[in-house]
Amino acid sequence: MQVRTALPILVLYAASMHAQTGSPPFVNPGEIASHDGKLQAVIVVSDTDRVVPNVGKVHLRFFQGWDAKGWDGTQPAVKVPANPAAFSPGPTLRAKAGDKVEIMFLNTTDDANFPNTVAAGKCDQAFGTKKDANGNLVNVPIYPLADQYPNCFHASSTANLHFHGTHTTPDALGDNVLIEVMPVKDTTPQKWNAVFKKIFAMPTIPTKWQELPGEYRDEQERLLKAKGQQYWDTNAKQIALGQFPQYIAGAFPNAFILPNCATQDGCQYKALQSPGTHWYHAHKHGSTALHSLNGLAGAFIIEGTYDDFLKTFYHFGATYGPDFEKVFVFQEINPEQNLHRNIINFGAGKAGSATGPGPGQVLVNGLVAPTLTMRPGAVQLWRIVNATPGSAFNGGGGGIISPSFFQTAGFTFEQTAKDGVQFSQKNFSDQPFISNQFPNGYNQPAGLMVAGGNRVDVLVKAPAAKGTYAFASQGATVLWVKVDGDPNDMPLPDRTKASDWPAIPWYLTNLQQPPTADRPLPLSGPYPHYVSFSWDAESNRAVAAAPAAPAGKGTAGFPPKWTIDNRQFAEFGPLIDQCMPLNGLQDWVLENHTTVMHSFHIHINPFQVVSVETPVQTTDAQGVPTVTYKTYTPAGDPIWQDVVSLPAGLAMPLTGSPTLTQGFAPGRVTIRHQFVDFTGTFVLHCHILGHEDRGMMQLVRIVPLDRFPTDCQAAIPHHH
Amino acid sequence: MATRINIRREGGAVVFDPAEVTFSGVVFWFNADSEPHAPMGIDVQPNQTSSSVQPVPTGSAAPLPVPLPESFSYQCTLHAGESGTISIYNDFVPNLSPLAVTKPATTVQVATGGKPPYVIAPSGEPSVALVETPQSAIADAGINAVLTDPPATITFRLSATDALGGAVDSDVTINVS
Repeated sequence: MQVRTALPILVLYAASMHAQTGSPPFVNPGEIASHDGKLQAVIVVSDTDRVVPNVGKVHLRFFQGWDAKGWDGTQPAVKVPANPAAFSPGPTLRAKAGDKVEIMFLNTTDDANFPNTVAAGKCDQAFGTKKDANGNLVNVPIYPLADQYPNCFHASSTANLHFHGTHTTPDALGDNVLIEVMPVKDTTPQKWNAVFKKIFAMPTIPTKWQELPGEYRDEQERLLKAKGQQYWDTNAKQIALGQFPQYIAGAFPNAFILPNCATQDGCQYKALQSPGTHWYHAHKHGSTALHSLNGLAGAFIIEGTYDDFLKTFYHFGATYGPDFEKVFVFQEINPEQNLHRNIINFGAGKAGSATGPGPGQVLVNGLVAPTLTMRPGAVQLWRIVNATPGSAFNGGGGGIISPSFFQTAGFTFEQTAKDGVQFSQKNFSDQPFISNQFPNGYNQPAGLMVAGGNRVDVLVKAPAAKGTYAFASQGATVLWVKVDGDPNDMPLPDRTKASDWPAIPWYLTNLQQPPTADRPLPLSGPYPHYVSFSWDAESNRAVAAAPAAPAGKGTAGFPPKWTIDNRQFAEFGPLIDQCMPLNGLQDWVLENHTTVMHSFHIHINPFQVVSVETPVQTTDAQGVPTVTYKTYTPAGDPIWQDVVSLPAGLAMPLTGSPTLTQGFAPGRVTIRHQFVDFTGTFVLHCHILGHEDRGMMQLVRIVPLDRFPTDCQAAIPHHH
Repeated sequence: MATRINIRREGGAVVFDPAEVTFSGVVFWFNADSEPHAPMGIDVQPNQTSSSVQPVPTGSAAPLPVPLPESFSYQCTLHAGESGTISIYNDFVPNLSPLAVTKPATTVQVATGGKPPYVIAPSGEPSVALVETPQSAIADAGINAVLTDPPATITFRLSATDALGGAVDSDVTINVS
């Protein structure tokens, strides 16, 4: 098996690229790290004018934070980022497995600076214009057209935090994306500091609203009633049902443990927090795409045994060397949703361009094509987060980091982790993505592709030849690497030697074939369990009916109505779409009944990919066009992921397959996952975030075995 | 970019602040008055913002491409006599590189759109001077590269901002023949 390495002639070609005049130097995002077993931080979402490269001054929401260890409630000495006027991602959070996370999350957005921002239980409206008989502009409705609440863009001044990749409780103060933190523009962290310290100091993290200090609950009630009695009335009903309330005003305390144990013996957890590259982002249904486009995301690095190995291998000691660990947060920036405008305005004619101001401009840590410097022969660990909305709509996929990035001539790449989970020794040896074994699910050339929400860790070795090298994604240069200075020939782990890569930890060993009895509801349904991603799939439309091309928006069928299992999120009222008993071990078949790609993501527990089936057009013995499946099954260990791309389906004449319906061959991914350690309610969704906002999401619930299925549909949250 | 238009009362009269936006931008209104208003027929309550509006006109009344810049008027549909204006400029964007110039010509437009005046950083290349496109043809506003004894291929960084706050930060390559 070969890891992609440059041929000498390609080195010469790549190194002959012109010097990237004016390219800014690559810098890691600013960071907030844990101390003494606690990640203590303040994260504020606010709004200001930010200078976005190639776009100019744009009024955007942004994340800013600081280390709260020992913070006395006065103005912090150091904020990250220091200057929010220059665009950047949110601060990188760095913790260790086993740490407790204590984050004061504030929303001080001034919603007078944004259209359509009030959480009023309705969709955004957007208009175009035309001239009337007198030459005056009058409005023409553009949005929401056929979109219906809650599966539409709405309420973008509300926010929350999703800690993507964490294995922790989904309820209460944990990785709870079902709360809506409404803005209170004049609130301050100083105001909340005392009560949040009290919350964080409680011997047990509160799991019920009533367990929070009275002064916090009283102030929340006062602030919410000031915003509108209806918000508190909704909360009061939910609290009475034993739920955590939906609406929060201004300030929310995220507090949870990143599970860890020294040994399996005596460990209270069945799975631990996987150390690796994770991330956080705002996750308010109806606003996830816009929040991503505003830049509301940052890396969340959780260190553990994986890092211990790398630091030992490279003789770094307790921390990575200053030139070794590079954090890449890929983002696309846009102040408005695409569907809020007429199609003519996408990027002002520069749609899909990596240098244009419209959708498709890809920034790395807030910079257009920055320059990273490496010494000849040096090795770096690149932690890459795709924090774009993941859309592949505009010009072929600005939201995807394409395989070409990892095929840059002259460099050697060894992938070490996927979605924050280290490779097993077998997979490290085989390099299933870089060596083109694992299909990427998108209409991309073979190789390692990073879809929206995915992360990859890659060891990158620079060539010996000095020069400036262009790293391209989607046909555009997104990074320059200048190889310069004295040679520093660092080794890569030898993939043929087991001692050069750590064994997989006990909690990441392969999941075994599930017992057929261990299935989700309905118990009488087919198994493995099928989850179907579709569009326009309500009963009066054909499942495979593709929307018309968007030549003139508003055409029947466009934009499509995104569904999972033929329904949108909460389309027919409160419903737990997937309910499993705690410790349930199940295979799910994820089917893509559309002709575009989708990315499946489920919170709280990662999964292993058992197979990927990509439909391929072919011709049978009689010369008739038909479809066959190109099937991938792991040669080594099934790879742990928390986002997996579902190959697009094919609409074709079909013969002979019992699983094909209506002349349509769905793309198909089979995953295996176990729902351990944490009961509660959370979500699965498409990580093309515009799809999620517009319906491609489900509620998931894990209940204790002795309450299954009794509690599956009890007291369902009403969180929109 | 979303541009906020304030609705306010000045000397007893309601004023819609004038707005300047780009082709790809949108506007919305913030109502700082004590009464509801409806610019272009879009409701906006006191102390609230409106929905977003993409002001460049479409449809048969104004077939695309709309020649820009141009100013348009709109009315409040609740109160006769209340009106505002929105001026729309082309987006300030770099021309797609590589560009070509054939001698003896020495000038090539490297960016178009936006609103003059521009703040232009030096190209960093002695053979390339960056200047505003002459104002006689404002529809083609932008930035010209003026070349002096250039090599056959030259690459430089174009960094500039326009009067609306738009920015270009882009590598430009020009092939000279």
